[in-house]
Amino acid sequence: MYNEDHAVFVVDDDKRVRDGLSEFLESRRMNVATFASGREYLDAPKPDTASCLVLDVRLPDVDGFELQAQMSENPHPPIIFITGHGDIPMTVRAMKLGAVDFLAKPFREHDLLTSIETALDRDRVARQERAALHDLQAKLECLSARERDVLPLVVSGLMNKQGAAKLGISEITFQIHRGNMMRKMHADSLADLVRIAGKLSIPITHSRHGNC
Amino acid sequence: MVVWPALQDRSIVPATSSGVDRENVVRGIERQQYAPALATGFAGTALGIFEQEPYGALFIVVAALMFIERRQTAAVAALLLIGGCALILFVYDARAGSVTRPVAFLLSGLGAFWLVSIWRKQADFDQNLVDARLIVESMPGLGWATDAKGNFVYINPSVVDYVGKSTDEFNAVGRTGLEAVHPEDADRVTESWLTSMRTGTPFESVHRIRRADGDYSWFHAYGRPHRNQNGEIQGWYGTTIDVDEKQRAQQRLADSERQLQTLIDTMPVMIWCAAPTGEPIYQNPKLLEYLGATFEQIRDNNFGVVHADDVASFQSTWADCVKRKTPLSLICRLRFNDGTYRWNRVTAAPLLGENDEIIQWYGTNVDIEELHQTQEELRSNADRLRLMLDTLPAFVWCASPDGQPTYFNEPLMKYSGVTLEEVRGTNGSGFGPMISSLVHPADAPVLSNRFEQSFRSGEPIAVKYRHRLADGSYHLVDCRARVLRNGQSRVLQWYGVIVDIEEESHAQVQLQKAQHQLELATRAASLAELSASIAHEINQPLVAVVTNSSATEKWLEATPPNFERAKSSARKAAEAANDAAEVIVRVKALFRQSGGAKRPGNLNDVIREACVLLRERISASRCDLRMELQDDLPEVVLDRSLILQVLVNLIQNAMDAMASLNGAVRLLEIRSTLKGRNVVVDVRDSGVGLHDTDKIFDPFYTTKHNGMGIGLSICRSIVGAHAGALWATPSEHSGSVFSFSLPTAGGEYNVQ
Repeated sequence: MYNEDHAVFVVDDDKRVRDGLSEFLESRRMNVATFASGREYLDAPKPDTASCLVLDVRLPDVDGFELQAQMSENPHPPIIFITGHGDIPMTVRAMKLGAVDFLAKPFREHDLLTSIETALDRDRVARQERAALHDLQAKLECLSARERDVLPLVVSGLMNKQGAAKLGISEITFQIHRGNMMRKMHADSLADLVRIAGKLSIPITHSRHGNC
Repeated sequence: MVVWPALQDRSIVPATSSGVDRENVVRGIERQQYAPALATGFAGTALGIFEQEPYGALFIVVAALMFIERRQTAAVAALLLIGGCALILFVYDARAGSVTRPVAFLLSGLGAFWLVSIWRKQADFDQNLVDARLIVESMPGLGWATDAKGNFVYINPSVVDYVGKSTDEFNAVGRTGLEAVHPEDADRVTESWLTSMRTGTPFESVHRIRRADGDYSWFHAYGRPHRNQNGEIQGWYGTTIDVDEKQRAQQRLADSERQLQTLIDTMPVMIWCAAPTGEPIYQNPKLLEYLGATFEQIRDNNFGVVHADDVASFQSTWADCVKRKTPLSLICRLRFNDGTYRWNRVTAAPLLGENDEIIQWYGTNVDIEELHQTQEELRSNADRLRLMLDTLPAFVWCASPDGQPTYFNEPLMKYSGVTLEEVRGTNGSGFGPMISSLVHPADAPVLSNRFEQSFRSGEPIAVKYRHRLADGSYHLVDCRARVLRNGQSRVLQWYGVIVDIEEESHAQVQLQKAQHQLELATRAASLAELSASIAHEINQPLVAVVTNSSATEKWLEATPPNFERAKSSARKAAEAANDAAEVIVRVKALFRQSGGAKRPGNLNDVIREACVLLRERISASRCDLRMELQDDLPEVVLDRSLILQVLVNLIQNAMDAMASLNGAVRLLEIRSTLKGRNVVVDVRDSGVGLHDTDKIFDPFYTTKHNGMGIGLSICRSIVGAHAGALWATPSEHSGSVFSFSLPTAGGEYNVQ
């Protein structure tokens, strides 16, 4: 399990807790980085790998919830809250905002590990999805202007003849653009292309029967 | 206006006569004239018939002669007859049987009679003329006569006396007497005179005539033409009567009337007259200008200018006054010339005739808009004041300088179940009746005493007593009164309020109970807070113990086992376990002391212990902690755990206050000093400061989003229980200082 493809960040103002968690996780061959405050965490450079954040609720400067709110705009590692005095409202609030788990100190080591694994898995998936989307976006960028016009028409299910008419070009030319576009988008079939378009949020703007 | 014939010319026989006297005179003269003719006639007739004498005819001839009208001819004829007869008597011899001599004698007798008759007639006529002249010349007016051309032919002496001129002088001027007329009147008189001359109508004029001495008097001149049988004007006769007094009186009257009119028209008062039935007759210009209407408009619609809301009452009042002939007085709104309505007082009185009938109404309108508004304002002010006094949730009363109540507000009367009349008593009875009916018998003598003293000296009253309520029960009230004095510091009125403090006194007791309960509750709450704090203190090292020991196990399980890391982990676990144990020890110590009796101790030790307790938090908060503890502090009597709790709370607050500071200096300063008999501890922060340094001590008031708001209130009650004080003040530069003071053991603190 000890490899470079992950990182666990620990933010807690109590040095004993930081050290304990660091020791605990390192003994399980995990990459750990500890921080005494939210600001310290935000300022630190972070590796581009699957990661998760073990966050104390009560912090001297920005408390855990505030930190969570601050990061919610951008992609951030899944959060596992730990607290000395947790109550149900706090738990609910944290979970609603997308926390993986909410653990009251002292917690069972097993619970923490499970949570961390869940969080890392979730981050991995999210990263993959982000990467895939990024890849598709890069492919879309590669399309010529004409091919980019052709894409929504094809995805909308228009026949070559109809699409050509829409763009005011010959059917043959349309077919050439379509072929190039399919190749550049690495789409094996029309169904494949529709799936890719869905991920890229390309809207279905035309109907085969309508004239819009 | 009697016209006499011109006496200058006696031949002129009056052609017209208007006087009865004159008629009689003329008739008398005629009768006398006919007497000799009749006598002669009868004599001739008798002679002719009885004596068969031809002389009878002669008699008849003589009788006929006697009708000669001209006086002189008649006189000559009479003399001739007498002469002839005398000649016959002398010449003719008396013969028997001849009647010639007797006839001549008789005829001469008759002739004499005729002559006498003529003479008498003349004498009568002359007498009449003398009488007439006397009348004309002695009458008070100026008499005059002119010929047909207007030249004076006669003026009576009064004229000469008055004007100082004779006929000739008048005529010489050529203006027929106008010369004496006042220049201002001359043209008018001339025209009138010329008109009369031309048309033959009577002349009449009132004008001023100059007296001989130059003064002018008013005269009324009247002239009539005198015509002959053919209707041609022969001349004019006239009188001019002095009307100076009358004229002047009239002028004065006219002047005064004009003045009155001017007065009425220019006076800034609105005046009107109305017919007995109420229709307008006259409205002075001020009134018309005020109403912005013409008289015709007012006449056509008398009530058109009255405000629609006031018309009905005006009409009925007016009709009532007209019917009962009583003066009218009312206020109503009248339309002003700019269209707005203004309040007016309309008053009118009827002018009654002898038989009590109304001749006319005279009235005035007075604009009382400002007055009315002021009155309305005053009334509304008074109403508002009364309303205020009556709705005020307080009992208000007033009393005269000698203490007799003059006013009780509505709530007070309701509260006490009495009316002002009941407690006022008779005049001069003072506050006796009020006290006897409203004050508890046990309090009455004291209150009477106190009142008497105040009402005599004018000192404010402030007294508590049991007040009798409407239902007969008694409530404790606080009665306060002050005196209003005038400029001469004479007492005018007493003003007082009574406040029911029955509930308050109950509430006071209940408040004490509630405070006690709160103290118990805060103790419980502080215990809960304390235990939460203890839990946290233990949990932290516990986490470290668990994680480190788990790590140790893993390090040892690893292949190859990592002994270095295992050793380090195990050591950390042990340290953490020690920390936890230490906490337990401290808590045990805390509880051992808590609730126990207060003991003398050094406050500096407690401060240090608090700092040890909070060591970790202080370092995490990156505060710069500075302690300035006075070394030789005397001991204070304290419950160590409770004071520790106060210190922990204050230090935590200070750190919280500085938590949101970005980059600014976080300075936490703790200082202990001896001030007099008190040890004072200051906890100063450089945080955001406080808005309200009093409110923060109230229970459940908090400036922290996750605080309960009981920390400081607990601290205050703890310090209070130590006979100390806890307060907050703003710090000089930024932040705030929380301080508490505890009395030193050597002080007068009484251990309870």
